[in-house]
Amino acid sequence: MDLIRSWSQILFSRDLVVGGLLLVASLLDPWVGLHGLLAALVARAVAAALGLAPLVVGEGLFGYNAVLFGLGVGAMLPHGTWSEALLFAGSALTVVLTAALRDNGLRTGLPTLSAPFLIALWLVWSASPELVQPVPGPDRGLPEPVALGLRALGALLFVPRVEAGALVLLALLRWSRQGTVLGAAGVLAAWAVIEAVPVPLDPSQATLLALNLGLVSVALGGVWFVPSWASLALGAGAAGLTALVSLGAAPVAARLGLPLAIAPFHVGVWAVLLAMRQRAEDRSPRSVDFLPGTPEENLQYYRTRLARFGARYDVRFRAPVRGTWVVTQGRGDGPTHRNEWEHALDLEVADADGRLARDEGTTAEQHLCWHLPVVACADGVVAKVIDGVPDNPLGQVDLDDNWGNVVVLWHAPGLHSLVAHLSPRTIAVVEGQRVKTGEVLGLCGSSGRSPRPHLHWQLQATPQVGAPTLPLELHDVVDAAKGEVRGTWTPTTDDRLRNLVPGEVDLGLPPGTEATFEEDGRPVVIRSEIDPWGRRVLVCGDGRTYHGLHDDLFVVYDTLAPPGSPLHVLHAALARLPLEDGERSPTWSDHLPPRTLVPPWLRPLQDAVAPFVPLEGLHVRYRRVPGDRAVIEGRSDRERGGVPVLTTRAVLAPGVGLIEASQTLRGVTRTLRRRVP
Amino acid sequence: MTRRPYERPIIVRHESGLGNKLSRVPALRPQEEIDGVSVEELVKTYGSPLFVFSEQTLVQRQRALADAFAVRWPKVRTAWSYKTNYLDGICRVLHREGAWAEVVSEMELDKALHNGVRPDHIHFNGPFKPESALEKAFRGGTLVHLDNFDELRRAEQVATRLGKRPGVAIRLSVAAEGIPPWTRFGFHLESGQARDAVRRLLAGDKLDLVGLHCHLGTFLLDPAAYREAAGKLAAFAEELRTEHGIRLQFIDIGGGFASHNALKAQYLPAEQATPSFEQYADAVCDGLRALQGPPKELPTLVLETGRAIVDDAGYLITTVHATRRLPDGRRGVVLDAGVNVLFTAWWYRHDVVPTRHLAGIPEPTVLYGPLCMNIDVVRDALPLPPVEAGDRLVLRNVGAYNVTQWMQFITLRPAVVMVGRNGQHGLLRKPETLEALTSWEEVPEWI
Ligand SMILES: Cc1ncc(COP(=O)(O)O)c(C=O)c1O
Repeated sequence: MDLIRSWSQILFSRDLVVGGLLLVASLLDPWVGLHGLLAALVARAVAAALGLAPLVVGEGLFGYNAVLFGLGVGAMLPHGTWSEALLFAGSALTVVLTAALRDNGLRTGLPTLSAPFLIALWLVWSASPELVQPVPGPDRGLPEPVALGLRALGALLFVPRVEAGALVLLALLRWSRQGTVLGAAGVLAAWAVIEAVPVPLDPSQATLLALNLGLVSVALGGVWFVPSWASLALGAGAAGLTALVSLGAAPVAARLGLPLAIAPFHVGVWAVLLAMRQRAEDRSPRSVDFLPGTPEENLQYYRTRLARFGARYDVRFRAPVRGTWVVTQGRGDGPTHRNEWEHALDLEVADADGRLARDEGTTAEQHLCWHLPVVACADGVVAKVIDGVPDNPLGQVDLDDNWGNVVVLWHAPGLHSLVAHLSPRTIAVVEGQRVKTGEVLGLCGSSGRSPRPHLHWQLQATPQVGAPTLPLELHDVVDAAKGEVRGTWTPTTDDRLRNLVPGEVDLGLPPGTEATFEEDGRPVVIRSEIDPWGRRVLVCGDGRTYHGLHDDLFVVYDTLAPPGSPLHVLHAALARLPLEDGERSPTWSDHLPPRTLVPPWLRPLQDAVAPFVPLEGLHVRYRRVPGDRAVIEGRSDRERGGVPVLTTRAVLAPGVGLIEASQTLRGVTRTLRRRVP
Repeated sequence: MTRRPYERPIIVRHESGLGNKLSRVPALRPQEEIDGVSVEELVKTYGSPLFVFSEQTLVQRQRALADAFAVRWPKVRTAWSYKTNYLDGICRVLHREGAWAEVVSEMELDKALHNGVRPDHIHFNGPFKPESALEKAFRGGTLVHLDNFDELRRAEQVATRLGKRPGVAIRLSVAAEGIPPWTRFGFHLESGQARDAVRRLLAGDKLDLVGLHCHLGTFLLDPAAYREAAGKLAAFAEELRTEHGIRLQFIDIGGGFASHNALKAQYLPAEQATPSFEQYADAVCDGLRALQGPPKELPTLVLETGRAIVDDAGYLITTVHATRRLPDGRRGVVLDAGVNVLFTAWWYRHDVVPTRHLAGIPEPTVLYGPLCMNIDVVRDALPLPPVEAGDRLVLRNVGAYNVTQWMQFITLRPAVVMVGRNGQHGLLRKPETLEALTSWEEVPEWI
């Protein structure tokens, strides 16, 4: 069964129906199709012999290049033993190349696409005496652009006939409606080019052009960028570029005697991806900085992420302190947080009456924040340390060393954090040291431009001290005045904040284990795994819930599952779970994706319009009911007839973990109960 | 024209050299009410003498303690020291604020359970834990702090019998400068006994070592002692990690922080001598700095602070029964409450204030209790203006240890009440009655 995924992956999918449709389409030319099958088997055997990760193999990630290669051999090489030998050798080569490039792809973030297939194809091409070009099939009376598109889809599998194309179209529709629209846009662009060029293209050239442009439009318009008008425009622009590559490179390729195949698609995608990375700001279109899925998934995930996490950075920032601190100077506030340095926070500690110092407060030592630990706000590497600037007596400032003693951390390319005014000789880290969130960097002091002890904290693009600030965000930090965990928060002056304190609360689903629940008496098995990309995932049947587990927080990123899957109940009841103990635990809220609310039969329509008409999700407030067991109740803000559209409940028992999750959506209740042995 | 009230003439010996820059004029500002409820109303409702607890102060002190540590250590837990004051009402206020329980006997363990504390949210200290107590503790997951080798063996036997492998802590006795060592509790760190205990525990392979405990003493006025002790605990914890691969869940630094009381031998008044929670927290957390890492990997810091939380919240209202002149010229005052209910009078110079403005010059006064015993002295040499029979006096900072260590002797024990946050008040403990007393007595039939 897993073998079918080698076909699914040609369309970036893991769906077996998609793969099956593609397999059948290729078998319309049995000789070609069988070669694809053979190549997939060879690839599977080679992957097993090399001992490549079974999980990755099972996803078809080592197979799709071989399938394409096999189809190519079947379609273009003369029948004979030499061709069969080349099939075996070439398929094996694609596996090795895929594995090699996968490593590179994971590091650079540039997709491998079908480069291994192209390389193998070119090598075999040169090693083979005579070649046949697959001949495009008849129109069957279809209008020109439609026939062109269908033939192009067939050509993806080296069967450039409209019948094969129709099956591929079905697979494409199944995979993504938005993708289909984008692909059609690419084909229309190709048709326009074909009509416009003065020298008429031969039919196989035209088909190939349509294929390349269609693929570019899908990849850039919906897979590597979040679908929107802007991504549609980008896809169309990239298609124009790719057309130029196709037409321009064709004579060169012909002189070299190599088929262009889908090489222009690769050039177009890589060039545009690299170019777009040079933008000052990642907007319009927004790149997919998570693992790409279908355009629909990308869009939903991005929108939900925007609503839930704020979209600025992929790094999650905690407060750089322990316990509750108060913001005494926020963004754009006071004398110093201006212009380039507007996005900074000054933090101090206040007692129950709001006083910042004890006793008379006439010395720095009497200030409550004096010599308190300052900690790393996120995992990172120490980029810069300045030490040795003396603390000022109360009321005095040192304008020579404005920043005083400083620690700068690197968190991600172009993203650093800085803490300043630390006390001299209290810095506990050295440059180049790796630190984890919450580790002590030094003690709060009053060095530099600091008339009284306080902590200055900011984000910046470079490690230089004095660099301009970047917008500051805190993630999953407690707004102490409201008693609420804020998913994304930029506190302002007088706000009080603290980090969550990691406690004993535990879901009881460590990776590598499974738990059996029951819904209406039916057993529901949920497995906890780490997937080939290192993501934590809960698996139930065909569905997956991607989630993160931090020391202080469990958070669901996304659930990709059929509409009836129990994972949706889990997602609704536990979208986020602060792992803090205690009776005075804060409340929190979250955003559930709009798909939850749309009936299944309406979803294809919703998919088609979603990039252009944003649909609102559901805002749900959660609280923990005091008691021995952690009982978490959620209710949506949106109501219908005075009743919340959605209410949820989750129960976690000490020492066991999650024992119950339920949701009531528009009056329909679904409950999962753990079977405790 | 209003008549000035009559002032009894007194003769006070002139003592020179009394005042210096550290001495203060005793601030005898009368205390007419407690958290907005008048002392007279309380006495009318519940009688005199009367213990009164302020819920507000209790909560404030508990939060101030937790906050002072929360800004310095990522995971902090307070465990309410039951022996300090185990009236249900007091305990429940503190549990409501998130405190676990710290108990030192099976009775206290039962009382904590009775107060609804989760059994695995209880730390169990003390040198005397019979098998029945250990069994109860291990069944519920209570954290037992082992005190000696015999107890270690007993604990292993009980665990084996129950088929459980409980997590336990060991109590360490640690030397710190300027502190009389409490060597009779726990395993000595400096002599190497603590290491032996760990090796013995690991060799036995029946219990998991999850915590270290150390209680230095009580009413310790010097935070430096905590820095030293915490430093030693941290070093020991590091040793356990590197040598035995043990990652401790908690380090318990015990209790002992001073309240706003003054010891009899103490020269400075409490406001100046008693360190703030911040100063204690600074010392403890500075001592622990050898332990590094992200919050999840650091042990939880456990505090068993008793008196520093509850002492300030407790008042004893008494009534002057008689006054007399002593042969040495001092004035003697007989109160309706003595050392039988105010056990802490043995070592504290309690703060005493009237409930009305007292006219006249303060003269050295001895406060006696109602017992017909020479030892019954509540306060000696208190400078106090003349008082009359029927006057009320309020003794402050008496919340710790009194309502647990008091005795039924000669008189019956009085009521204990709590004043709530908006003028409510109610009983924490009824006044004792003769029936209550005699109901426990039996008379053998031959008498
Ligand atoms: C083990 C233990 N923990 C805590 C305490 C409470 O101490 P304190 O009331 O001085 O804070 C005591 C009192 O002696 C004790 O023995």
